[in-house]
Amino acid sequence: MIPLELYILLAASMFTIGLYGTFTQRNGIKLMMCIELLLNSANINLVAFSAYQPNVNGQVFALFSIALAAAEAGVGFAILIALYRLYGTIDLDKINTMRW
Amino acid sequence: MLLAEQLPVIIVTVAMFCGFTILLAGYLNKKSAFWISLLANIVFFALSILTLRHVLAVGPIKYWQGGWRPPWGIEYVVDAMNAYLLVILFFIVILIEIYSKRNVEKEIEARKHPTFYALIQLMVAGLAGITVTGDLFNMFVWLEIASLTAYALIAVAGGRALRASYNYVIMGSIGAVFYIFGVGWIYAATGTLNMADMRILLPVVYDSRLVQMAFAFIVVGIMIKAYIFPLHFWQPDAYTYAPSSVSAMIASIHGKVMIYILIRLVYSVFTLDFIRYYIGLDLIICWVAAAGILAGSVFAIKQRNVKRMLAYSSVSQFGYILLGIGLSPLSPWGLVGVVAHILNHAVMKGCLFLAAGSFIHQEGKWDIRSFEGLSKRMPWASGAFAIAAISMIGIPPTAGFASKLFLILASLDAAQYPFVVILLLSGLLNLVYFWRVIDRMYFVRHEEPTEGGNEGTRRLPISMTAPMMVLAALCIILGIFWLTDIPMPLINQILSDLSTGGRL
Repeated sequence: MIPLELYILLAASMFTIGLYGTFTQRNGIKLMMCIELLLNSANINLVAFSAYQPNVNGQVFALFSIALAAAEAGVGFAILIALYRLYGTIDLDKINTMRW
Repeated sequence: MLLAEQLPVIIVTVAMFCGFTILLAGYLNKKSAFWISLLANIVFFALSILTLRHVLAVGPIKYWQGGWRPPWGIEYVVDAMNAYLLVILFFIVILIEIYSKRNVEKEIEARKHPTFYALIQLMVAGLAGITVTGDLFNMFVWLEIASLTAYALIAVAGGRALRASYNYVIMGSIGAVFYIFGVGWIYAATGTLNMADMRILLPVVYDSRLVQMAFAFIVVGIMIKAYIFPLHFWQPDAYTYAPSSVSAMIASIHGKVMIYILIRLVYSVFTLDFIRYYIGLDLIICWVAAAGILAGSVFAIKQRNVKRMLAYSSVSQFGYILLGIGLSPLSPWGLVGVVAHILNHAVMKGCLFLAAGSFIHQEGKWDIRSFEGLSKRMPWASGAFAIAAISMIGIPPTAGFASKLFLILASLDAAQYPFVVILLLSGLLNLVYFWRVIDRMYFVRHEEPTEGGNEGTRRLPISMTAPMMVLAALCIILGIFWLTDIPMPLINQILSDLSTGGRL
C-alpha cells in the first residue's frame, strides 16, 4: 500500500504550485487554473486522509468539494468573459491600469 | 414543541428554494421577484425570532438531517449565539431589500432584476446555513454558496465592479482552500467533522502538529473571507464598485457571518483552552487586531470616495471584533464586546452604506469633497449618515460607544493596557475621517444654484429613506439598551452556551 505521506506530499506540492501561480500569474485564465490546482490539492488531502480513517466521510465530501469547485470556475469564467467583452483583454495588469 | 425543533432547517431550505422560485417567477413577471423575496425574508425573520425565543426558553435546538445521528449525519445546532445572529441577519436583510427596490431600478437594468433578487435570496440562504450548521464540512458548503453569490452580486454592477469581483473570486477561493485544508487536517486528527464531537476529541491531540497547522490554516482562510487587516486587500474595490444595496448587505451581514465562523471555531470547536494552551497566542491575535484597527482607520483617512472610506472603516471595525476574540481568554468582557459589536456594527455600517448609496442614487456624488450643502438637499439621508458616523466615533449614548466601552473594560480587566490606548486612538481616527464628511455636509457654506429648481424637486423615495431612519434610530436605541443591562439574559445565555460548548 502506498504510504499516506506520498499523498500528502502530492497535495502539498500541488498546493504550493497553485499558490505560487496565483501570486505570479497575471493572466485571468491561468489564475483560474491555479485556483483549480489549489482546490484539487485540498480534495486529494481529504480523500487520502479518509482512506486511512475508519469512515468514508472525507471521500463523500471531496465529491461535494468538486461540485463547488465547478461552480467557482463557472462564476469565475463568467466574470472573465464579461471582462473580456468590456476591455478586450484578460491580462489583469492591463485592466488595472485602464481607468474610465 | 415539534415545529420549533425544525425551525432552523425550515429557514435554510425554504430560503434556498425561494432563490430558485424567484428566478422562475421572474421569467413570468419581473416585478414579482422583489415581492417574493421580501415576503419570504419577512417570514424568515418571524421564524428566526421564534427560534431565538425557543432557544432562550428551552435550550439549544438540535436537528439531524434525515434522522442520521451526528457522527455520520449532518447536525444542525442552534444555540443562543446562532439564533441571535439569525435574527440580526434577517432584520438587516429586510431593511436593505426595502431600500434596494428603487435603488436597483436605477442602478441595474430591468432584465437582470429577477437574477439579482434570486442571488440575494441564495446568499441569504447561504449565510443562514453557515449560522445554523453544526458540521464543519457543511459549513464549508454554505460558505461557498454565500461567497459564490457574493461574487456574482458584486459583478452585477458591471464595469470596474467586474475587475473587483474577479479579484474577490481569486482571493475568496484561496480563502476557501485554506479553510478546507484546515478542516481536512482536523478531520485527519480526530476522525470526525461534527463540531460537538470534535470539541470532545480535540483536547487529546492539542500537541499534534496537524491540529496546530489546521488552526493556523482555518484562521487564515477566515481572515481572507472576513477581510481582517493584513488580508483585506480585495475588499475596498469590491465595496466601492458594487451596487449600493449590495455593498450595504455585504458590509453589514456577509462579513459578520464570516467572522461568526471564527467565533464558533475559537469558542466551540478549539475552545478557549486551546488558545490558553499556547501561551501568547491570544496576544498575537490581539496585536493583529490592533494593527488592523489602526491601519484601517489610517487608510480610511486618505480616501476621497465615500464608499471606499467606509470599506476601510469596516476593516478597522473588524479589528474590534478580532480584538474581542483575542481578549476573551483573559476576560469575559471580551466576548460581550464581540457579541455587542456584531449587532452594533451591522446596524451602523448598514446605515452608513445606505446613506452613501442614496447620495450616489440621488445626486451621483461619491467624492467627499463635493458634499457641500447635502444636509440642505437631503436632510434625512445626511441626518442618518451623521448619527451613524457619531455612533462609529463612539460618542455616548450611541451603540458604537457601548461596544468600545465593553472592549476597553475587557482590556482593563485583562491588564492589557496598550489596547485601551489603541481603542481610544482609533476613536480619535474615526473622528478625523467621519468629521471630514459631516463638516462638508453641514458646515461648509454652499451657494445654491439659482436655476436648479427641478433638481431639488426630486425627493428621495420613502422606501429608501425609511430603512435608513430605522437603522439610525437603532444606533441610539441599541446604545441605550446595551448601557442599561436590558439584553443581559441574552448575553448570559450566549456566554454560557459558548463557554460550555452549547453544542454538546
